[in-house]
Amino acid sequence: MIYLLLSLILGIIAGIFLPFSIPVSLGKYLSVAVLAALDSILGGGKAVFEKKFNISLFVSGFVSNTLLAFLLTYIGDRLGVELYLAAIITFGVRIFQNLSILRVYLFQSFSTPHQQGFPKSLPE
Amino acid sequence: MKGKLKDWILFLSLGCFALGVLIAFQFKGQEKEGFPLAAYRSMDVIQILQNSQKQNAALETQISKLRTRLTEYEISRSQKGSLTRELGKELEKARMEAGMIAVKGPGIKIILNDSTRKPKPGEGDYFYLVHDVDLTELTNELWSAGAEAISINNERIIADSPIRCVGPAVLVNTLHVSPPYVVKAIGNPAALSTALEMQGGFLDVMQVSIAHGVTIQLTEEKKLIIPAYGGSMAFHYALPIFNRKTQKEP
Repeated sequence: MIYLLLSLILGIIAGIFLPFSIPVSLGKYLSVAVLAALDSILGGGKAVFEKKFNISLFVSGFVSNTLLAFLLTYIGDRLGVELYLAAIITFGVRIFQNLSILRVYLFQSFSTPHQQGFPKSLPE
Repeated sequence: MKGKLKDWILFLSLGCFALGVLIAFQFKGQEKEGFPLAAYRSMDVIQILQNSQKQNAALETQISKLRTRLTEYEISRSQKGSLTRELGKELEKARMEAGMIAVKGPGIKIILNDSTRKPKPGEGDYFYLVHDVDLTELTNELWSAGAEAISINNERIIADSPIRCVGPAVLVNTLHVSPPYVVKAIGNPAALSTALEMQGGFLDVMQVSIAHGVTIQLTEEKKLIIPAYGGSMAFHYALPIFNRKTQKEP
């Protein structure tokens, strides 16, 4: 958990101090990418608790989600239809669902004091 | 088990890192551009604008070349006789009045800039920007306070100068000017600045905008230079009437 928070903070710091920035016209793509990343991380976290975490699944999900979201945004831009909203809504719904499932798992793992640490302490 | 544990920590951490970088980029973009998505579609237009501005500049140099040649002809003619010399003087005066000659003298300089704040959600951006009507009002008050020459961002205001809103910029004559707007006026500095500062005057009217972050700086200057009008001045419909008796409508 601490590792995750640390790397998030590290990422923000790195992003702030990196000398280049993304042009305005790609703002939509960036916002979709943020959501895709958040969705993948929460989904991965959920999978860890369910002991179904698979590296190749996680990475391919991360990449394919982001690519599909980009593609939708791009096509939407060409067509003049805000297709990226579809990606935003899908990711948004999934993020909230995953978060609530994760929360349940977290509470369960903390409320079993005889088993320390996670994911070893996962209740079956 | 331990190896597996490290794996997921590593990959989720990498994901978190990527997320952090993306979030930071998003924030940076927002800060820098102000209204990023709103500005997006104007990108293409900017290119067109720049091209036409280049074209404009080329044409303007052509105009000024032709004007100097015309002046040369006039000078050579006016040296021939006293009558033509008188005419030449009169022509010079008329040109000064028309704004075809660069002028210098004391006056005031007003710098207007848009607010750096963003409007609150649901709030219009009207009071956060300097509008074309603000500039027309300003020039109007300056003229009535005795200004003899006015320029906005070094574009001379003449008798038929339009000041008009064109999206994010303001059109002065044929020039697109964008904030900060630097308005220079030659005239009695004290009279001009008092006219703007008086109750119900320009600064008073702009109070609401100033409260929203629009900045207006007024300075009295000892020496200002205002360039000549660079555009063309052609009359296609209006014809002059020289006979005084026929000057009234029948």
